Amino acid sequence: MLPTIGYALREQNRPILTDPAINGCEITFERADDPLRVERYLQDLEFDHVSIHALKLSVASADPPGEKYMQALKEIADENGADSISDHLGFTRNAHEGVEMGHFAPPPYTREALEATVRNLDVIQNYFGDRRFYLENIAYLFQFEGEMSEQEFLTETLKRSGSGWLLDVTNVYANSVNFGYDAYEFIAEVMSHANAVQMHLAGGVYDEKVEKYIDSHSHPIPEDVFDLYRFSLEQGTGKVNAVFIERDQEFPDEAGWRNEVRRVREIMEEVYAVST
Amino acid sequence: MSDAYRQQLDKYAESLSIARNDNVVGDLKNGNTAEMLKMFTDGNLDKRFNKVKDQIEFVAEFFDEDQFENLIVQYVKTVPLLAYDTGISDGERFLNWLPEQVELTAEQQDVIRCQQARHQIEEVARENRLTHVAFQGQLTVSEKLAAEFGDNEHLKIQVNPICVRTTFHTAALLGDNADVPAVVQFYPVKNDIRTALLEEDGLEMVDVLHERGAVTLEELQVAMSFKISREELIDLCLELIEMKLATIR
Repeated sequence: MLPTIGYALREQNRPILTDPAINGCEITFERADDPLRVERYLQDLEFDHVSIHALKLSVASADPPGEKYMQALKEIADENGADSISDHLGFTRNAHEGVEMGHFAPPPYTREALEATVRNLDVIQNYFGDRRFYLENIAYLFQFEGEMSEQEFLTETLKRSGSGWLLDVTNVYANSVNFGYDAYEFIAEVMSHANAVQMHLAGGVYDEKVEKYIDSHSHPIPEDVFDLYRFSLEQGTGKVNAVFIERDQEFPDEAGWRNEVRRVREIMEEVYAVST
Repeated sequence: MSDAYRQQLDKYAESLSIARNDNVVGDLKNGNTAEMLKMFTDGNLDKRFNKVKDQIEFVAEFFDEDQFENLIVQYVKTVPLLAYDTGISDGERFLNWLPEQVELTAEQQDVIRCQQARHQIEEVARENRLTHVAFQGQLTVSEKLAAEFGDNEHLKIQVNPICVRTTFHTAALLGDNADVPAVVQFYPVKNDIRTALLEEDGLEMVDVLHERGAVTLEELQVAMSFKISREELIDLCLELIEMKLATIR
């Protein structure tokens, strides 16, 4: 069976989510978490796979996430019939009652950070029970001094925690451009240790001034990322269960939304036709 | 986990949350520059600035635009975002911080009270989400049942469980002819926050219904502290129901 394909739900793409190319959906928790909302966030939309994407579990923090936040996540997951939950491999705050930076940063890739991350993932996975948790590799603008590479840290984390991998293909691409590593090698190595995989695809922009690829979710998915996506599907056949496209700025018109998701499906069908 | 990792993250998060990047730049991996760290913190502060600004857009209208924006900049650069802060909680903390920075006019104080009441509605609804959803659902049949209210002794009236009250001391938000101080009742209808200016009897009825939960007309009449005829009480109930501040079940 093909993995499900869909968008991260935004009000701008809600009208096209019944497109036949779409059978999955990702809900960004912070968008759905409106205390006055009366209807469920998905309203009358139905999908084969729904995932809740969180931004503040702060998986690499010194403390596990607070129960109140996880409870709120679980309520949105229950209300919308979600199958899985995900968040990023990074920290947004120091500790449970600490301060937030406003965005996730990569942890220092050290043994101590690994211990804290694996322990936090145990807490998270125990809390969500049968709903599988997926850990996303992030795009970063800097790294702290550490004892291992991102690839080693991520692989160890997935192996020890049993967490699924939310492979953000564009993040791997951005980091490979900005920090000069081989994106294909990164994906092949981590994929070989992952037991279940979801994917994110998005388009950013290369900022000539700072000579960095910025993961801005503001442009169509670039060809280089489509190539990596194809490669990832080939490497992950049998493990991948969902692919979600993210777009947060400079939204396309209706045809743009539909064409991009259809392209994602076409590539998947080609890969799966060959592999079966 | 050793305390060393906790201390390391304390240093990183506490510094980067307010862009004190110099404290952290020495811990970056070889080849990573202060400029890259600055891109991270600038982006985060911009995002936070915009969120606070959007959250309290209504309050901003009563201030000089440049002065207000400068205050938000000062706030995000000096007061760190707290763990699990939302746009609402950060906006609320800005409003609590604001009087320490500038002397507010009476009108500005009223606008802030109004915004804070709106925040409080959202916070109460967050803590009581299922109750909010159930009440809003009940509102859909309220109009039909209201026609029988007074004739059917089994029907009960129930007040909106998400209610917040504040007092305005100026007419800035009430219109020139308003009597002040005025007690203003805030309550949600679906995801919209409404206000009502109630007379004393209306305010007491809301209080009684809050305390007692759903009650019949007879029970309500007994609970009110002042004499009120059955007909007057029915009219008052229907008024609250029409405003969607109460429902029938």
